Amino acid sequence: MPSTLVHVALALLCAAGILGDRFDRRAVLVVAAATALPDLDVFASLVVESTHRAAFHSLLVPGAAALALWWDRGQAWLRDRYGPDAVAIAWTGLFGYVVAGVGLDAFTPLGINPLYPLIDQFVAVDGRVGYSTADGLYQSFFDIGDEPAASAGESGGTSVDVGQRGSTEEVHVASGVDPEPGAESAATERVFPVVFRGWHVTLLLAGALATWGRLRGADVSRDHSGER
Amino acid sequence: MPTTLVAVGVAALLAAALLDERAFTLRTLAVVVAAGAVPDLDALLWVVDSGLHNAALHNVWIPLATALVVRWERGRAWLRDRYGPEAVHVAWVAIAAYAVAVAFDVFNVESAAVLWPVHDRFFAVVGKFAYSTTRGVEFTLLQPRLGGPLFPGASYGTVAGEYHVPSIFDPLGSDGGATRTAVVINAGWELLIVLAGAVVAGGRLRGSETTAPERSLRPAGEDD
Repeated sequence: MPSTLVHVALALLCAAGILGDRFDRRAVLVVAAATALPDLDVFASLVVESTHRAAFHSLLVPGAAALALWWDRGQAWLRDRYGPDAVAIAWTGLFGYVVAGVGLDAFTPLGINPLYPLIDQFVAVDGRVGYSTADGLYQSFFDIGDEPAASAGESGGTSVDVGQRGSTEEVHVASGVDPEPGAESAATERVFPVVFRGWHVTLLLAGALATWGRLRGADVSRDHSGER
Repeated sequence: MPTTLVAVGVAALLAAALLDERAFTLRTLAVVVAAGAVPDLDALLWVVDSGLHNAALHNVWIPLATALVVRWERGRAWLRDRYGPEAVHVAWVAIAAYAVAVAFDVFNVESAAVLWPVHDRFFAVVGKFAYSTTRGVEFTLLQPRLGGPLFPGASYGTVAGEYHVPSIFDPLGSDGGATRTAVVINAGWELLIVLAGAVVAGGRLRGSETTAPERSLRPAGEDD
């Protein structure tokens, strides 16, 4: 479970690359806010049971935002109100929401609920790919196999496992705000993570480096432009 | 262990993030991505000594020495003369990609001997940093306590000693080296990083081609 901070670090690392020279402090704020947004569904989980990683991790939310951004009048409104770079920054914020905010959760073992509330199913994209002299080429991201027959004489269907984890009835992704399904007692431990894995640290470092370097690079190239 | 492909993906993201319009080309992208992949080449040094994997090129000295050369006036002049005006900037980004690739292995149970050959021990900084309502602030990445080990997760051997990080060339796993494994993607998040690196760097390459004529029409000084 990467913390919100790790999501934001990955988003800024990507955003600096997408926006290039247009990456300024305002873009940092927009992208960071857009990426942190999905994790606010920890509060939705207090109202509707187990909707963390479902309510705002649903792709219907960024889908609607993408439609508004794709629409000419939406773009014109943004440009008029926030300047010529606003559309690019808004798309980058959306990229942060989908890839770093929702995506980084979707690609970890607990997964997300991508079509909630239309289809209530958590899905995780998780697995390994490689080559081993014992198993040959292997991958475990999805598995298509034969389902065992329910009774003798019946032939089993095909089971397709792409990482389904179950519905909000079965899956509860814990958070500090809502650690357990149902009401918690006062003694329940609530954990608010910052980093849980080594690679979280590395991503934080890379994101901070990219943000600092790009913001500074814009200043430095302005100062040194006379030197060349 | 994060695979080489992940280091390459993050290197591509760093290149896109840190190189400006003039400096970001297919060639400079290749240089930065190569810098991210180079540390893992020490797996090939198993022919010399199996302890050298995650040691020979996974150290702080190579990026530090390179950084010193790039900071040095004559080093910069040489780079600029030989590879053009953007070379110094590209060199800095390549150093960053190299350092991040090493960091992926240090912040991992597989460990890296970052101070080798000055200090002959593998380090792994593992643990977590979180706040718990029952246990308070938990910080187990470092243990700044006198007398105990600084890195609680780093109970590893030395380069000269028994410890060795397995690779496809030099497996020596639990089954005595019968199975050789080349891991491309080790977990879901690694796939996401690789995809993000490909999309962002690829998009920048395409974008710099299409916007180049348009940008030159802008008034001078606007984007410099």
